[in-house]
Amino acid sequence: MASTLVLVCVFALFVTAAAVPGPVQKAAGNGRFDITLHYTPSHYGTTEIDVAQLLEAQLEETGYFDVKVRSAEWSTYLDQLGTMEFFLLGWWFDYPDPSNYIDPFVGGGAFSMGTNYSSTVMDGYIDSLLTDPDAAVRTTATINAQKLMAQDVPCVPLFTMLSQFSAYETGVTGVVQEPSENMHYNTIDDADHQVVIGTTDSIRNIDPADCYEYYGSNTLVQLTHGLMEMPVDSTDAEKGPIVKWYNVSADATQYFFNLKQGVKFSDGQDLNATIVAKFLNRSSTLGGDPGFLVGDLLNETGDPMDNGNIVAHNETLLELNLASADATFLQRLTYTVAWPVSWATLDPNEIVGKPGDTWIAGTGPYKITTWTAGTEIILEPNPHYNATLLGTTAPANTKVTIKFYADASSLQLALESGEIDVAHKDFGADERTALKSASGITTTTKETAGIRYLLFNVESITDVRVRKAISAAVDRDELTSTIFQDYNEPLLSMVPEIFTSHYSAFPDGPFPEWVEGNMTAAGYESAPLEEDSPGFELFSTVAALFAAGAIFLTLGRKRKRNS
Amino acid sequence: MGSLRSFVMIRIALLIPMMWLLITMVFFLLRVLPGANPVRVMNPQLPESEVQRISNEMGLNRPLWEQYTDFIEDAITFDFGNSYRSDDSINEELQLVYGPTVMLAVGATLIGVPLGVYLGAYAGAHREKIPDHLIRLFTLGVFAIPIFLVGIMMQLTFGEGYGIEIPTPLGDIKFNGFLPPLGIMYPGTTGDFEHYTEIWFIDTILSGRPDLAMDIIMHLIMSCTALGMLIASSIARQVRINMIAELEQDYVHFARSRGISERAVKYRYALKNSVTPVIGLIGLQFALLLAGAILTETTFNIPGLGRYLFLAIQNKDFPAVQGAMVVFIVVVSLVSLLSDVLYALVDPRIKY
Repeated sequence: MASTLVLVCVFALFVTAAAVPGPVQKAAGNGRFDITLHYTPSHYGTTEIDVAQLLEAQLEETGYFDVKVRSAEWSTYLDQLGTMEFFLLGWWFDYPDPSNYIDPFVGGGAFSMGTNYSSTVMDGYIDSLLTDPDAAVRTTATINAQKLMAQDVPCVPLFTMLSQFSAYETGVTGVVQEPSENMHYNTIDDADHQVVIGTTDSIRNIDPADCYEYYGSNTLVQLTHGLMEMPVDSTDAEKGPIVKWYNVSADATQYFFNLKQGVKFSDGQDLNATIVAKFLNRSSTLGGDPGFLVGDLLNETGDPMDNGNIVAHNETLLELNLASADATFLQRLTYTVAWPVSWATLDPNEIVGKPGDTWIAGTGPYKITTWTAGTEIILEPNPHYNATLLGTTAPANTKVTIKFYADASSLQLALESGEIDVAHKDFGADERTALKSASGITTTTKETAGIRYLLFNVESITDVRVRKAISAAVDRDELTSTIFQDYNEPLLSMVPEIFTSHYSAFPDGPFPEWVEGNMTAAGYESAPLEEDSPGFELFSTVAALFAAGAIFLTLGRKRKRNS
Repeated sequence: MGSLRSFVMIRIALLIPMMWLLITMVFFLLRVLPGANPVRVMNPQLPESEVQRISNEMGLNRPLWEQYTDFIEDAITFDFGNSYRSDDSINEELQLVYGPTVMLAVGATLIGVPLGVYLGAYAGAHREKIPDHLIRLFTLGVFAIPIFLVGIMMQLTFGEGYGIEIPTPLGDIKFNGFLPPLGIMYPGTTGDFEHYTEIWFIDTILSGRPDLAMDIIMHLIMSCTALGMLIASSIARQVRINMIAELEQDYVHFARSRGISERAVKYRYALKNSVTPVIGLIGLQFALLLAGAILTETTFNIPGLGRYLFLAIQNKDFPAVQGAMVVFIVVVSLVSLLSDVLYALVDPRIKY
């Protein structure tokens, strides 16, 4: 009897093992193409599994793909970049330039995003994008790069991230969402002129040299001004309020900034070119997270101030010399890593900007008066702020309290209960829909710079016809409408529409005939699904249970006999 | 009392290897977990060269045993180094977050223990009657329903801006919520008092702001009740069983035969003996309470130790997780020790 059970057990295990799909792709001419789609279940919100499953359904519906969906938590997922063959990711720019949506995925550093893509033609476009100061040449290079991406398909743009969304109590005025996703709090006001703003974001620190997260940077935007800034209605780089004029050499290596006189930081210190030079030198050399944005260009040949890369000629004139031409430098300066703050509130050799440190004082409309870690930050108007001199708007309110919440449902609760006046970010699709119909609450939306996309490891999925077929099989409208309730937009390029050089290069599928053409040419056939049939899965599960039961019984009998 | 002193000394001595074992487990478990470099997790868009540079600076690329010996050296002096995420001293961060958890835990104990004792005693005294069944159902329900769900239901019922409508034949009865649903204080008030201890309730009183202290109480009522119900249910079940057993004792029958009122028999004599063993239970319940604090703090947006630990785990912030865990281990061990000692002092029959 025992030997019979063992035989049954071995048979059941064999059946179970046969049911487990292997990772090897099928050879051409042998039915469907096996592919594994990887996703991470929580980093991009709880809807990510829906995106993965709908993509699986769309691809399998063509008859040419057999898709397995695999998930890994964010930290594991990042560790797998470079080995996953086909996966979902998201991106938001470091600085507002189209190159920042192309170079990281298909440029020399492509491995870090896991595509392993390499093309000398693409490298040429990227080189023009990064170094040519001529805007027309850069636009052409951007468009050509987008076309080449659609041709070689190392990636498939899907949709934008959820659009910007803010909700506030009816009666609150001056809530303006910007393409950069910054929000200036100086225009917001309500009846008592004391505004409470809630967010689910958090702040690590607000030292410009180390602040490399959204909300820390957005807080710095309230506290200081930059040499270059993004206006409230575009992502173009334009001179900041502290700059009188600026000039760029023809080869884009030499930059002059003439600062306005009479500008003060909120601690009463004067702004001048020497302070800005010391500040930029610190940001470039201190080793903070975003330091590379300016340090790569100012710091290539050693200490920037010693080498003449950063020179303060007098109180107002600042000269910046790049080691090599870079057409993105002005855009990089729009990031808060290059927004000067009072030297008296910085440590030349250490990162500061935390709740326990001397609070950063800038040239902006507000200063910090209270910072209770993890709970709230209170801002009050900068007493030295001269809006007329700067050509800006003075704070409309007398106090701004930034309150931190653990998640979107708490933020919604806080707004509905009247604890906060404005919920800045961020909500999922369900909370947005609920708030849009809530009484006494006004909502506003704006397009985002964040994008979502699929990436191929081109060393795993080597046949470009297969990649093209997948690109043609995707139905973006179905993704955005069924999962995100249209709080985002389909995307046909890796460069989002907020940039003028955006070009819709990818097919707005689904195009079944393109899928068929490419897959047939690649040697694959349309075939019914075999392994995923529920009957087979049920059979294999029962077999596994039976195997476990047989082992248990066998061992039990053996023990009884021995005793 | 000599035996008690030696018991305490032995318990304290055992605390050291137990803590070493636990923090060693935490250290190695964190490092064998699959996943990317913590620098990459916190800044996914950083170029690889920057990730490696920062990792080297933080010592993440050193051999594991070197990291471990450094960690043990630091832990002995209760210096847990700096957080990977904020680069701040873990000790300073823990000093900022322990206060809300202390307020939550104390508040939950103050609500949970009397509530548990009362319910348990009442159920035991009315064995197999409707109140007993209802209380048992309640204690079972509290265990069965996740604490965050209890919290959300309370917020939607009693929270400001919310409420419930009860339909009756005479018309709907509307009940408006009146308690602040989130946090510890109203926004914009944390700068209005001196932060002496970071236990804000004490700080507001020391700063002469009883209005703010009252605000804190109003904010904590719901969260402390939600968490307190968790320990109340355990205590109620224990007290009920003890009460039933005590009511069968000879001294109870004797008291009744002497004509002492039933109420006095139950609640003066039997209850006293039923409650004593609960003191020993409170030490164990405290561990449950701290575990519940993680969910309660998230639900009620309380910036305490539980939420700190949760975020640290999410960010793979190893030093922060280790620091928070050591605090949890020490607190639970000490409270457990304290409850054992108290139990021995209260009940002279207990010998160690």
